[in-house]
Amino acid sequence: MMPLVDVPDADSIGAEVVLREVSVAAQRKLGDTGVEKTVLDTTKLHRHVANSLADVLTEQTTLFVKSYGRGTESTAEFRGTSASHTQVVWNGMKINSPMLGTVDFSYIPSYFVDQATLLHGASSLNLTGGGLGGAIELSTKPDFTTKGWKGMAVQGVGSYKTVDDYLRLDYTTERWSSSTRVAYGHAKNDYEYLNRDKMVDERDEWGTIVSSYHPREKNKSGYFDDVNAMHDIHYRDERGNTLGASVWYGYSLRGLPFLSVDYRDEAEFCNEHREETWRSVVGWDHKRRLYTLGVKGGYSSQDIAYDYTTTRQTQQTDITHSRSRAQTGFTTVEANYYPLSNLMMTATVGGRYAKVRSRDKSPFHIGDNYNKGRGEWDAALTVRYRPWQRVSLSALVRGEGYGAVVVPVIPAGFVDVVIYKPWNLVVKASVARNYRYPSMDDLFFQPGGNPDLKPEHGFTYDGGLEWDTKGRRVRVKGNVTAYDSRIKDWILWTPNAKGFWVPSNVRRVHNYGLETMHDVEVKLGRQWLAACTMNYAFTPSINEGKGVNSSDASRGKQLCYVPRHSANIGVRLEWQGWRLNYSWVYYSERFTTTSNETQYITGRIQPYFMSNAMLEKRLPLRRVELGLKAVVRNLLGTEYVTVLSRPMPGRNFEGFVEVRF
Amino acid sequence: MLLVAFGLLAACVGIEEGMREDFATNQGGGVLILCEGNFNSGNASLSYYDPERRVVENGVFRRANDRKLGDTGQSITVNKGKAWVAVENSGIVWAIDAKTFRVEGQLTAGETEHMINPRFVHLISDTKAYVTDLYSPYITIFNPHTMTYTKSIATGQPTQGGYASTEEMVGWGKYVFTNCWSYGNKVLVIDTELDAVVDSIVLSSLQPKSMVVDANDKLWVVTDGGYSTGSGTLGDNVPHLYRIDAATRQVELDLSLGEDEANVQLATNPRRTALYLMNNDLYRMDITDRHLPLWPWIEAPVDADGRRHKLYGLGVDPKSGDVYVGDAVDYAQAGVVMRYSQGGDKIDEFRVGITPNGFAFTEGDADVPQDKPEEEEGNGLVLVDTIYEYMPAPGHQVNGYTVVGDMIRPGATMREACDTVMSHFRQGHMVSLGAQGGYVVAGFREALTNGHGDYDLVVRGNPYSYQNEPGIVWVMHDDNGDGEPNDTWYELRGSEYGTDNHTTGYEITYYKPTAPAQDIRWTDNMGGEGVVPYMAMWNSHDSYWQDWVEAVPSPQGLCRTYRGSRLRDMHTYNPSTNMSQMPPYAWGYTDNLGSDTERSHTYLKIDNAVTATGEPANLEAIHFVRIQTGQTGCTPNLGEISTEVYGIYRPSPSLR
Repeated sequence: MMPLVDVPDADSIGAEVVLREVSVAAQRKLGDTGVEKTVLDTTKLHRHVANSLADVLTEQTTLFVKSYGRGTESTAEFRGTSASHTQVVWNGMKINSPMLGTVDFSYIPSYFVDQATLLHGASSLNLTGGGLGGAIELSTKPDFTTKGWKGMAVQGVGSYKTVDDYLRLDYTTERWSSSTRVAYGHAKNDYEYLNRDKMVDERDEWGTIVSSYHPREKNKSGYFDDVNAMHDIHYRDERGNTLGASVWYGYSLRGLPFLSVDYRDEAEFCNEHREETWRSVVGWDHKRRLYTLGVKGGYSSQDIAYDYTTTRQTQQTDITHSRSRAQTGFTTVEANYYPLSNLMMTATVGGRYAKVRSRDKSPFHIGDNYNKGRGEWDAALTVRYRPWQRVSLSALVRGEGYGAVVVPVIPAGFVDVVIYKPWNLVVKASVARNYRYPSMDDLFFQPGGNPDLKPEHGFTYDGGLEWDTKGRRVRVKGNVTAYDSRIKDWILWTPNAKGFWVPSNVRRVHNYGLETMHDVEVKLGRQWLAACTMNYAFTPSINEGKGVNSSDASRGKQLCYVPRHSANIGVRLEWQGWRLNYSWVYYSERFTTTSNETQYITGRIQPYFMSNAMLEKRLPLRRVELGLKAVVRNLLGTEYVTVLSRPMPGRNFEGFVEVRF
Repeated sequence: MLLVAFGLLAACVGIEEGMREDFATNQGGGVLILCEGNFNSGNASLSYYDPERRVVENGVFRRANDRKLGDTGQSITVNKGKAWVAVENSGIVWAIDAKTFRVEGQLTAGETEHMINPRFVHLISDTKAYVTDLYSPYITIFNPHTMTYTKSIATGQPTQGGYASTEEMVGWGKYVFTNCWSYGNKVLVIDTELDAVVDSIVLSSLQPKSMVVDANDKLWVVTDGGYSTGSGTLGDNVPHLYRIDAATRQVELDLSLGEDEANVQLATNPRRTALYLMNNDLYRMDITDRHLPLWPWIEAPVDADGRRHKLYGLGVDPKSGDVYVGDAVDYAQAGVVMRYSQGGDKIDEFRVGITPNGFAFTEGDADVPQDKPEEEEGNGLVLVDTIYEYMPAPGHQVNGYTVVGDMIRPGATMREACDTVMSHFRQGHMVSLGAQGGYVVAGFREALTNGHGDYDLVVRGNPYSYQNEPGIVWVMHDDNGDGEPNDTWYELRGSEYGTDNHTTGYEITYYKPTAPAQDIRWTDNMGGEGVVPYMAMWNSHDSYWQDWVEAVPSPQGLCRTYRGSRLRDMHTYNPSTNMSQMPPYAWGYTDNLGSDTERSHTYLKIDNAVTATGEPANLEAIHFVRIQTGQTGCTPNLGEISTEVYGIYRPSPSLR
């Protein structure tokens, strides 16, 4: 997962992939001691502008992304944990919703991220607390290498009345770097599918059913309009100072698709979600020979509106009418100190204040759900030490708190040992305790919120091998990691007898398994490059809680919607400006009940394989470079669902025209 | 090659192919259990439980129809062999055959004017039914037979700033009561002749959740009291139980329950003389009680470590009185159903679908008009057109039986009684012959000729494998041609004829009771005596002696003697389960699951007619038939053994 060497960005203008000569015996970074991580660079992130980060995570990592199509909520889970156990940091700011504790990756255009670093399990503590499954660090990186103006415009048109637009404009001087990106995505998303959940009966004149068939229907209310705009500006001087500011605005209007078992008329209902988000971060970094210092601050606001209305009456009638606003301010200070060449110390301290106001009208509630503010803080101290050339050790203690609650000290230890230098073969291990405190909805949402909830907590043990070796034409890197994690007081929302949902600390979950990733790049002559990435995860995620009562058959069962096996393969071929990408994703059977019922057809989601392909041609012209891309999703036209009663689209297409200068 | 391999695999996975299963359900009726499923998952399901064999089939709707039931199954209603299932978040009401589970029709929101989220179905007649709605301020009217929309009733409930919820419905005379649950505090009164809301009853507590009408015409309503979990509280979270006079619509009793998060539900016993109240535990109280019971009738199970099971769904079998309770466990796995006897003993426990919330009890074949007799009449399938005599022996099922209600008005004459029986036969409704010897005499519109080897006659009863009440069939040829049944009766020989189980020339005399609520004494010509017990739980009428049955004086009081044959009483009784076993004879008797009985229809041959001495009668045709209760018996839990008849038909392929 962790590259031992820097990989050039092959997505740069006029990219002809040339693998840089590197020393395979390069010293490992002390800061990465024992860390299990996956780095996604622009080669993987910037395939095409229609991709969200959810798509990239699905196709190129071992994370399980729960989604039911483009323009719908997409959450990512590490190692069979829940979506709220994935902490996400964007340019130093934690962007997990203070209300839900989760991040919807469908709102993050992949072109708005220049690097995504996935920190698995205990490794996430090097970034932030609360990542019981892991953490993802998203970055936009200033590019001081190419001076002057640089731009990129993309127009995409695809199936189901899909339009994607992207514009990026950069200006760089020796000291300044400015980058502006705008993305717009729109689709009616009314794909047709064979609805196997319904049946049309044909009757004779006496009303007797003479034949039946599954109808072909269109996805109803699946439309979306997403707009995102981001501006990054950075200034650097020769004394090691860098000042940066990033502002990200997003607006989204999305219809919530009807279930395949809904018999109502789309024209008479509006089931719509709107979201407007502002995120801004300013930072100062100072680098000296023996230390670095970084200070960051930021603010984000998230306005969410959900309306479910009908015109079935004489006037429009609200069924659900929900509004919420979350505002968050944060600041962090991080200092790294290198007193010796084999010793590194890191200290971080941060504070965050979140204020949420949530109101709604629903069948179970009218009025304020809650109007609360909450302060959160964290502090961490890490010491990394390399006593021998091949052995690195790291120890971390982290403290966290929210409101008046202070969670117990979070310790973590990491070690790695280079056991075979020519292959950079490293064995690594870590152990950590971790906590995730309840989200504000968990605590305060009315009706149902439970202020007595305790933080979820557990121990995680990781161990594995990592390698990275390169010959004249071939580079091979990969890793294999085994992990074992036990999470107690897992928060679960269940409906109570009156019909609304209530969270409680009911579960103990044992996650264990295996993750492995393999990257192979082969240079075939001057013009050819072939690359292949393979990920596989074996993810038992077992509920070991004693259950709500003796009838509870969920003990010892796999958690809902977590596949025991998942895999993906990405193949890339490049030749004289042509690029072919093929991706294949596999999820094994998933259960939809906590007791893993198999006697019901609705008790499980069938395993499925998914294939996507992209063909690209770059045409260098005199002043600009033209790019043409064609994307085929669901290449084999597989009928499948990822979530119960949510059929997915069949084979569909999108074409892109790209201009770079 | 890799792509090809993936492609082949892709073709094999993804979506499971469906198929349609055929189900063999219990002839005596079963229990349909609606499992709500999870909101927005489309995994509502239907389970079927055979109370006799104690086996359960899950997901029967999907298995029978190769389609999903939908999202959030809300309620199920059964009548005359058909079930209506309201699936709220799918906007659909299904009509299915209650025995095969096959879809017979559907009413979707789009086919109506105002339906949004259908909640409950209530049948007004064979051609009219109401559907309530969670969001719509209208009650939808549809034809439950054709599943077509008729019109809507405006409830006048608010649509802005609140909800227009209407929920359960109970009928009382021409009125239907419906409760406004979501944010509401009213019970609306609908005149079913006007199809309009004509009144409302305002309650002191929020969110009326469940309703029943008892035997005293009192409407019982329980509220959940809203919720109270912090800011934004609605109501005081204290459920109330109300007793309301259905006629005056005045609240007579308002009982406050403990604050709780329980799913409150109401049900009655079959006679509607006792009330079941679910509020964490299950309570039982008499409908005349003025106070809530202090102790639960059935406590929700509590595990050894103190974890308590939360009860969710509640249903009472209208025939057996068995109580069914659902436990949703964690609402995301197979729920558990527990079955209790009327005595509160646990009979069974089984797994169903997710969140069992509703129970509906299918009629036995005998209870259901499998064919439409009135239509059959036009086709010549209904064989009889005149009832000459209806002379039931005493019995609690004859008139005023709790499950069926009054059949014949007080003071009715023999003619009125016979007309009522004929009407019941045309509609496929039950007629009880009372205890041993009770009989009915019917005449055919035209002579029924002997098919010599073929079955000539079909009589429908309501036998269960564990509950057979055999009737002996007699036939008569109109020898004198006067059109009256005044010639010679010939018994149709059955499997027991000529054995020790069968007695010819049997006479039994019943003595008319002299005071209300008395057992009815009998003596027979074999030296036997006994009583037909008065069982108020089955029939609370003062007397089981019918007004049109004339009694004659005797030294022991007014009496009536019935003459015919007798079959030996074979029943056994298990006190621990309070259940009786009444096994069938091999063949030749109605209301008896013999080899000649299918779907409760017993097939008979004129060739089996014998003379009083047991010789073949050699009849070429018959004009009259008499059916009499065969056994002299009485079970502790069910009372006297009495043959039931639903109709007399000509055999036809549709009945085989």
